Amino acid sequence: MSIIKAENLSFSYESEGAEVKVFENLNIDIDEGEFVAVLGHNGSGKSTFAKHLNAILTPKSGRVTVCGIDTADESRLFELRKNVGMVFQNPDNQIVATVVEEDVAFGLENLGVPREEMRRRVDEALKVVRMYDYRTYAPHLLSGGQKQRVAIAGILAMEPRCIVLDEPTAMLDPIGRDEVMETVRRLNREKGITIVLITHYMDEAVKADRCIVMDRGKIVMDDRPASIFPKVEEMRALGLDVPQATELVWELKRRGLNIETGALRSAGAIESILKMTRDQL
Amino acid sequence: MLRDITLGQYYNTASPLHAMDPRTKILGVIFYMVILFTASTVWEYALAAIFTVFVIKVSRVPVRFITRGLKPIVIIMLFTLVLNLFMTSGGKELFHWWIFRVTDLGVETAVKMAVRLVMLIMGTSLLTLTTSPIALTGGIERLLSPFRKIGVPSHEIAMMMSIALRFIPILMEETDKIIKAQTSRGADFESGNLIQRVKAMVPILVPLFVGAFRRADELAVAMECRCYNGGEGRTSLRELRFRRVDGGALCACVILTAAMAALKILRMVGVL
Amino acid sequence: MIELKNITYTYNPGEPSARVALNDVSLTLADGDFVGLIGHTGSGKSTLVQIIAGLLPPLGGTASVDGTDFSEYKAAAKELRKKVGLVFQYPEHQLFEETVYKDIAFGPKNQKLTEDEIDLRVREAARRVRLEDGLLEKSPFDLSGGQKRRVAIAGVVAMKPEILILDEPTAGLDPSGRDELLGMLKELHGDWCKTIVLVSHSMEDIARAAGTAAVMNGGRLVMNGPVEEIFSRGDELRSMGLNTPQITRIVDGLIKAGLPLEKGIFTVEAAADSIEKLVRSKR
Repeated sequence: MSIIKAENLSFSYESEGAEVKVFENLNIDIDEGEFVAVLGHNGSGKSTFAKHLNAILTPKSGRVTVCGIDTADESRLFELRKNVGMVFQNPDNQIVATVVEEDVAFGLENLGVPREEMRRRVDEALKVVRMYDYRTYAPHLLSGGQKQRVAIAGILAMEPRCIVLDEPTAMLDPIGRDEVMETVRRLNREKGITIVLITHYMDEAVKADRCIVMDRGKIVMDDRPASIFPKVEEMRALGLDVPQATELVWELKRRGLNIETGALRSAGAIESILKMTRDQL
Repeated sequence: MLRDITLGQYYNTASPLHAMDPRTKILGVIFYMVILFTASTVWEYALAAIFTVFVIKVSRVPVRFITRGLKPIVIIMLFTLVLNLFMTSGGKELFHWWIFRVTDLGVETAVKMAVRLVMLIMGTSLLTLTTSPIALTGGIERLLSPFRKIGVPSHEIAMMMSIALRFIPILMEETDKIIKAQTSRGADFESGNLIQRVKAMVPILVPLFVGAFRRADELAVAMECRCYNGGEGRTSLRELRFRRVDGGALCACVILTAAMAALKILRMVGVL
Repeated sequence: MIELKNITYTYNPGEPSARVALNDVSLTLADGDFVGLIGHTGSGKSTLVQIIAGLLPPLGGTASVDGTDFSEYKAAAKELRKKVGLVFQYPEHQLFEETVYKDIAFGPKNQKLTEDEIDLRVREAARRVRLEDGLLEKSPFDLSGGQKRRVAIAGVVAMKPEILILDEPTAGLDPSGRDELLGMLKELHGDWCKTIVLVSHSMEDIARAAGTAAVMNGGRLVMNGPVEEIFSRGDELRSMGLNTPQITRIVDGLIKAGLPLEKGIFTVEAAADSIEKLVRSKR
């Protein structure tokens, strides 16, 4: 069942008197429970698209429907935002309170959730992101990955059906990135929450069910990671990377070796190469 | 240098004072201020001092944390001390040098002023040392809420304070980074006359302000995304509980203040 | 050349929150080095680069610059600041002028160069970081993230530091922006700046640009040597929570499976070469 539906979506803004088109007639359909990565170089429109999903921006023309709610319908704004959580790049600029658990409660306080219910949901959300032991900490004492998980818990407590993450790991170190990605994947697998992940880290996109590649406001690819990344030349032309595993088998094939391409991870590449050497002996 | 300001720094420990309702502590501090500013005789000062020492003991906050708050105001203290010492007219002259005249009354006023200031800082520091910022803002919000009807934005004030407290450590770290980044580009903040030094601050202040505005912008969007819509219909995770100990403490403050007032009245009518 | 010996540093010394950031670190930066400085957050690498740049007095240890020993860091700091340019991670920390041109000129002006020389430096630095001429008269605050970063780098490059240190310069850039930046650094190296230190979490970036690598862990310098040597110690790196580039992991996996490949391969090109050679020789 479709949870996010963008129909003929267009958006532009004015800069120095001229109209700059971000995208035009964009059509995207995302099913409930999907884990979708949106790729594209800076300025491809992917972040602007994400901002349309919970009405930070509303369409100039066309329509965006999320969880059955038209994002342009102002009377249902809170219902929409309760269902579609948003995680941003800078963890510091989205944590409001001076204590972790108070921050996780922020959204629930805004919705007027009764205290006992709030306590239960805050504790539950903190346990899910594995930050329960830090519930009384001040946010500035946490690492970037921990802060980002607190931000996710704050969204999670509102029990959304969909979480949109706009480059959530861009400011984190590798350990923090792994923590956040592991959390996001678990939310998708265990809780069935629909994930839209905006990223330019290919190793993160590889973990998604589906990758949407945007370029200059258009969708240029929309498929499973295993079908997208082996198109090494096309990806490069779009200013994007492919995992080194994919690149290696592709390069070997290009040099005329008889190897199966399509590996996305180290294990896959090792397997293909071993298979090739065995076959040729 | 910024680290020395104890105001706004919470010392996390378990004590009866920590467990009290923030509203009690805020009201207590107000009573305490009244006491300090009405105190005039040595006995009244002694009473206030005993009260101060008692509360510090109860708080279980190490004394050096409390006295640390005094460091930034040493200069102000010395200034008032000197001013009172030399500017008080009247009283018996103790010594005289050039245009300076020191009288016993001057010494008394100066000492009292200094003691009053020290106790004031220590007492108010104690409020922030024993009350987490979030509890403090919650307390202020509740205390101000009756005034909402006459247009006091109690929720907004509390939210602003809370956000300010949240961003103080972030902005301090950012300032440090900016200073270092500009130093690495050869900026010199230490030499030159006053005007040159003020000018040298521009490369620090511009990035700091631009950064703060950007943060504010992003935070506002993030808050809206989490359904923030002002104070209407909001609930709160933290419960403020006014318990028996709060009642007792508040009674004690009232009695103490009343006693001071009684002393003053008695003195005025001439009984003492 | 800069030599640091037995450097120690502790944050908040004597307080309950005291934290050792550097523990007996000795490091030499020779002319011509392109060093990748690796280590995760809290390993001490940021503290170390600030000490190298003359911005933070260490608690212990000595520094020598071009063979001159300084017993006092204060004296060394002056020399260090002259020789070392440090670009912090976020350009927002240093951009402040009305125009890009003026912002880049800030450093050279502080060096008390002549007007003509400043102009020359600004234009050359802008060209080196591949900023289009048209951007020079724009406000730095109106630029895109990638452009801001290049202006920030140009602001330091214009001072022509002998040693250029960049803290996480590729973080947050998209793949093409990152490739461009790494290419730019390689061009600067040797000809404009004798020595470059690249602080990065990305092993792929280090593999692509650096010649030697220094690894920090828990306030200590635990490895220091040619990149291929460092990356051949994959297990040790992993035990510190660090990693090797994915390509090195693949080659390691192939070696474990019995293929006779060399250790320490860290580019896709090199890996493809040696696998191809192996397959063709076996045929």
